[in-house]
Amino acid sequence: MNEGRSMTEERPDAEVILRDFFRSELPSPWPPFRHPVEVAPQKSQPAWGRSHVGLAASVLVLVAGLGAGSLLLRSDTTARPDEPLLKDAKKPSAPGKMHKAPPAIAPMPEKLDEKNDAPFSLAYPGYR
Amino acid sequence: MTSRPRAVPDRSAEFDALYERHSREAWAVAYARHLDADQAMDVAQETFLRLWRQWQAGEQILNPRAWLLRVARNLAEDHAKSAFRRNGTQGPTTLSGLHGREQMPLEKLIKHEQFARVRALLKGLPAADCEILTLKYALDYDSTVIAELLDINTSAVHMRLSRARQRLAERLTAQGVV
Repeated sequence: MNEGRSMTEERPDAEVILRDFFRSELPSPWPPFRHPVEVAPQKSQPAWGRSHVGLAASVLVLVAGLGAGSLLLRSDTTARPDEPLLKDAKKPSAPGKMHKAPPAIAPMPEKLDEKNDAPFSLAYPGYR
Repeated sequence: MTSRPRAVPDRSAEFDALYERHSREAWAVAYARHLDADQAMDVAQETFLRLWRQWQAGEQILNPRAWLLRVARNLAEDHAKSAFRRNGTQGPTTLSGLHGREQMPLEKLIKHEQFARVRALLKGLPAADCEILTLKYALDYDSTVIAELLDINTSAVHMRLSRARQRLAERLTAQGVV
């Protein structure tokens, strides 16, 4: 089966090919000029303003929190080494002896959020 | 809020007329450099954008046509250099060898093949010859107009045109295209 051109068929002229080629390359339809679109400048704080203020505020809060925490620790550590840190805690027992059982958890008030009643009682069977 | 900036008032119509008359020429000189139609269009748009900005800045251009072609050539050259920096001597691989799912009609395939060969041959020609060929065959300009546009004499246009056509015809014949 001869799918190609026959020998007698006239081959296209170079002129025709060149014209067809360049015409096919030319954009069609010809696009209009793309006018630039300018965005109106927005009134805003300087880019560094807000972010720096926020950063400074965060750092201050962090430092304040650390400072307060360290002050608390210092006031507590002025006690003697053998004294417990927490006021209500008992003296540490001698090594080898069992600790006594911790005090029973104080019962919660009777009236609770009704929604949480059932699950709470299940978690703590001794609780009424 | 966006707005379309205005050139100097009363010159918008003049600008549009210049675009209508010379944008294809700017495209043609850019195309001759790369043989890439889309890139040439980007260059042409950028060229006119620069003109727009010049007018906004209050600059006077005595010969807009010559200015536009000069800027288009420079931009196309810059683009070629940046493409060389990106890709080296090897251009980006194209998908010309990729077969689509649908089979192209035979005539279209033959045409596609012919054009690929023409493009490859054109790339071997000097950019100045490609310019003349593009102006002649894409825009259908005669030798007098081409000579005026390129600021050369008509005999030079004839000579370059004849030489380029002869070279292309020989190679296309050798490849069995013509």
